[in-house]
Amino acid sequence: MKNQLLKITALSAITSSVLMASGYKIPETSMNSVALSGANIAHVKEADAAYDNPANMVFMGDNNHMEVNLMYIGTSGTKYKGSYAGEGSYDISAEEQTFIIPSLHYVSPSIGDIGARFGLSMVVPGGLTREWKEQPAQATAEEFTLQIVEVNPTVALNITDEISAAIGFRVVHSSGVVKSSSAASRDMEGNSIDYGYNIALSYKPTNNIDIGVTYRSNIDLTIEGNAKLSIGDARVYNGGTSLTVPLPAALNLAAAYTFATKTTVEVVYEKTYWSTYEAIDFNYVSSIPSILVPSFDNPVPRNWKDSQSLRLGITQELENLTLMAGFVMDETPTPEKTLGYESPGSDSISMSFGTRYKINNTIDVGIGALYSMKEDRTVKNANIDGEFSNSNALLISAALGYKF
Amino acid sequence: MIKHVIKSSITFALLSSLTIFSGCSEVDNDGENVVGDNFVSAEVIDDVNASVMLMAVKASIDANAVNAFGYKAVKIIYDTVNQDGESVEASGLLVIPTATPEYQAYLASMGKMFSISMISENHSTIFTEAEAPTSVEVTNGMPDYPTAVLMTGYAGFASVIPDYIGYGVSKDTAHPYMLKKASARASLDMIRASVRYMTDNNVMFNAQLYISGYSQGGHTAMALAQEIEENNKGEFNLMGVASMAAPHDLEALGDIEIDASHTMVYPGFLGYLADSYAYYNEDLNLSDIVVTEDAAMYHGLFGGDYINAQIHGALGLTENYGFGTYTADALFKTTFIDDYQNSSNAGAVLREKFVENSTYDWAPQTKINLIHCIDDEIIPYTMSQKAYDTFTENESPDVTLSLIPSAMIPEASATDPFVHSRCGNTAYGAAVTWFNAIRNGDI
Repeated sequence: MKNQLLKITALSAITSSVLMASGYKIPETSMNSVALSGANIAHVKEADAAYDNPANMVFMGDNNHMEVNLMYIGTSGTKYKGSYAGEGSYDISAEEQTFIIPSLHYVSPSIGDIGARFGLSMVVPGGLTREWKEQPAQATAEEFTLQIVEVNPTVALNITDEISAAIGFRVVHSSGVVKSSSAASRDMEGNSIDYGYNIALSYKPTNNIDIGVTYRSNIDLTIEGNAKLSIGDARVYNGGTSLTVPLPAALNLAAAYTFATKTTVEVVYEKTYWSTYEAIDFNYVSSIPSILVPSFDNPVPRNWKDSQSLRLGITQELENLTLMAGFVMDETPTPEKTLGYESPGSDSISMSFGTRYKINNTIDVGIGALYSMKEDRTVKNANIDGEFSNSNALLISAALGYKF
Repeated sequence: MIKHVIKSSITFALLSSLTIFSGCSEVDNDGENVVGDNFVSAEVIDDVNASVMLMAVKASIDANAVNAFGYKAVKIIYDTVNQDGESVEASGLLVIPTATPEYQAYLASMGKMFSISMISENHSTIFTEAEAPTSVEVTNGMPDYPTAVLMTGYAGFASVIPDYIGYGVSKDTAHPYMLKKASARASLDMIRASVRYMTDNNVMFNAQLYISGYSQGGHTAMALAQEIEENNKGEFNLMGVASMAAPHDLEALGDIEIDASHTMVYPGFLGYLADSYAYYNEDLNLSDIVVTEDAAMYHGLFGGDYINAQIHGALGLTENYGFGTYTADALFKTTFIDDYQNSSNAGAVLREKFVENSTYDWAPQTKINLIHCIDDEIIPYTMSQKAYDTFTENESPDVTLSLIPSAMIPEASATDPFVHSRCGNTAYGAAVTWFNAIRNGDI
């Protein structure tokens, strides 16, 4: 039964993708994380610690912790009103999207005399999908999908009674689809497996103070696959292609304070190193027709900038019930000069809440929701002169926790 | 306990990884470009600059021309499939226009870019290897292939001209004369290989395809158009098809020509048909069809080594070099003529094959122009008329019948007595003018 559940959730994950937060990174990878707007680093103490801050695993109860999450994401259809390449007066909308994204987290009991803890997470740490069925957006971003699934085993050790550290190995499977249609069209799909690492440090100077630092390395997603290029009906290329996009490094600095009322307030500062995303550059195994080189082969500058997020989470523990709420301000990494239809980012604020109920000593359930509102953004660059609006998203996450 | 935890954790990790990564979708092809992968090799035969081309255009097409395109002639060798399903290496001539910097600057000032459309040109019947396009074009700094001068040097299209199976590098293979499947495939594969050459050599090909052909080539042009529309639609932007003086209804042509009372204007064509159909159809024997008893000798006459008059002579058709003098029973056995007229025995089989290989009964969706000289004495214009009528009945959306009166073609001479031959330049001029109008968006 357990195996079957794993298969279902894993397969579901690879068919899901999403555009959330700033850029295409998804920081909310568990129900707690959704309910706290990602302010779930310093004080995390459920199985999702395996991903959000594995150094905290050593402070958890000495048994197996497992959690299964299922997250619904619905995104509104981004609207664009303006001109393109100096021509036209467009009023178009991207397709609305809905996704179901699962995640799994596991934390082992203490291992050996050193009290090490082993953790394992399977999450969707990023993703992007944007579908435009109308011109002029269709010409460059009929579909732009990036699906990312990560398996992240970690090991945590106590350094002192107050300090713990963890290290993890990241295995990331990514797959991408890029479609664009106009006089010439491109239909590209590919995938890759890439690797990275993560480290974490936790410090508990007192019973009511938690400090956490986590770092996830940059992983270049080296997607390789097939591209079909056509001019009108004429297929002119059907061969190998590759594309590298970064899953950027991220640093989280978090601090939490728990009051005597069992109210915990956590603040997280996150810096995401998007500046590694300098250009999008398709490489083809064979030459492509010269007439298509400007559209489909020349590198397209992106020059994203590092972004910052500030997260606030409040947790109230009651007897068998935990209440959570959160707030986050996300900064977009997308500069005006290179903003395109495939990723029309803007600064956003999000609010969240959630609850967790302890059924008995081994099982608990929870549900959380987050609503993200992106600012409308007026853009004027070489191609786009107009306003993007209506880029909102709703996340609802449910969790089943099991201790044994 | 510890062992159990580690074991269960590893199982969990392996299972998770397996289920995730087994979902990786397979991609069609992550290697070399497979479009045009039948391309084998290319050799540049000649590269003629625009000023030389302008002289050639003025001398042969338009005395008042002020511009011409450079003319880069390339011999393309490619893989194709013959009538019998066997793979065969074939060849053809690709002629690419090159624009002068001044012309490119002029286009840029108009906000346009120099890009190249392609004409798949299918030549008329030839008997010798020397007439094959890649034989005609030689390295001499001058353009040698007349239709390429018109299409490329004058009009700026890339000309893609297959030698046909049986000529060029496939000379040792019997030519599948007037056989739709192999004819269309050889031309189709020549286009594919030419596209690949242009892609690999940074030629600004815009993927627009036009098809032309005269006489046998008109038949091949229509067969090619049908093959593209019915089986390879997603591979080409087919813009227009000009089929000129083509025998679209082979059965009806047989009714006229395989008649003991009919004087054969050009016996070589009919002899070639008999040889090809007997060679590629197991249920037809050459000895049942033609008068000549020596089938091997007969077949050898169509191997690319003899001109038409030599072939006629070898068949005993010596008077007037065999042209316009002998009735059909000088070439065909009377028993076969009776069989054909009565649809019996070998005659019935040949009729069936002719029907299979006719090109008039389908419903083209591309713009079609059927161009034919009214007084054509070898391929009667009724062939084009029938194609036009049938296409119209079949609700083809854009079919034109362009009949050319004899007053518009050069007068007969001792060396060029036939309307069918003299009509060629006028017909090609009409075809390229029509292609140009489509390219410009005028029609």
